[in-house]
Amino acid sequence: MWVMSQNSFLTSINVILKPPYSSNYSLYENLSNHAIITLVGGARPMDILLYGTLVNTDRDLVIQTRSGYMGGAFNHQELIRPRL
Amino acid sequence: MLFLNRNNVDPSGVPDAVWSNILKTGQLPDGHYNFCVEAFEITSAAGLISAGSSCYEFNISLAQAPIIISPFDGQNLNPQLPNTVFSWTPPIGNIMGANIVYDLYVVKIPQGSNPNDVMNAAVNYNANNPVKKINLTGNQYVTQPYDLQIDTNTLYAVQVVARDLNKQVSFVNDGRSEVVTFTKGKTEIPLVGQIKIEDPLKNPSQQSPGFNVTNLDPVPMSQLKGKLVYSFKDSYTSASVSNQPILGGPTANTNNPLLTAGGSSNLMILFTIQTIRH
Repeated sequence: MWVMSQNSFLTSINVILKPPYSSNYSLYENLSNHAIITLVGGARPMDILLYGTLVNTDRDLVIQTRSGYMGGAFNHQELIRPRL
Repeated sequence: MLFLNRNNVDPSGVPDAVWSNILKTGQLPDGHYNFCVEAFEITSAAGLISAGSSCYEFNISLAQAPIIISPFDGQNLNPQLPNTVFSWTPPIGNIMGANIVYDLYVVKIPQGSNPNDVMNAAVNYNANNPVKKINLTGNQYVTQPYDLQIDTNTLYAVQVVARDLNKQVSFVNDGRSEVVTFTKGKTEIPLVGQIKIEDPLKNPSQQSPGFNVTNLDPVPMSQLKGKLVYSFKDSYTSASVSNQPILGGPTANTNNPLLTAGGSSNLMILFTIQTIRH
């Protein structure tokens, strides 16, 4: 869902993981199936790029988007659901 | 979510063995996770400018492996029963969407071998010719005549491995239950601590001080002899009966006030028991 506002930058970004995210949420690929990322704001045309970080706090494991990654950029003025 | 695609991430914070396992199995380790997404605006002048971020926390927990109910560890099965029944609990946890099947392994344990080692070899390499039943959908299996026979007087180990055919659920210990050992027939497992029961009537361990039971019949009956000292309130006349049966009888001393005196209700009796030995 995209909400337009008068700010040039995004006013908020929200991440939700849909259930089931516990117990049987164990497949790496399932993460993309159940994540909802909502960006709010941005009146003018903006090219958006998303980076992610996944941290296992119990085991101190960190998986993050590599530096210099430029794939998946999209422009919300196109008003199409981007391919995240 | 291309930004977390395996080709676009930096797993430098993950040990090589763990990362290899993630790529191989497609499964993340269990634990508490913090998932953060940061949005950048792409500008021609300044490059990437942060436009906000958000995080979400979630847990990944694994379903528990089955627990073998029958036989229990160390059980000695009745050799008269031709069939052996193996039963186990279903995995505990959220197994929604899973299609769970079980593999049952029963293997002989050579003398002096570790049951866990023998079972690992049986599960991984089919070593020691195990009884192997795969893709069982129920939580129980009864051995059939065409199965390998469970020999008597032999130590066996059994393990159940749960698997999800839909590959949606992961299990603790790769779905492997605890290894349970059992025998059929004579057990060679020594008893821990033996209680020695002796017949106290045949072999009395010690004599009680001051008391001796002289009758060893199943219905105990003892005869006591003693000295009875008594007095009457009115006259304070005292008398004593020595070495006489308590209940008197025809041979009782006729001077015994218990038998001859009448009318006094205030009788004070001092009775001293003397033990005798036949």
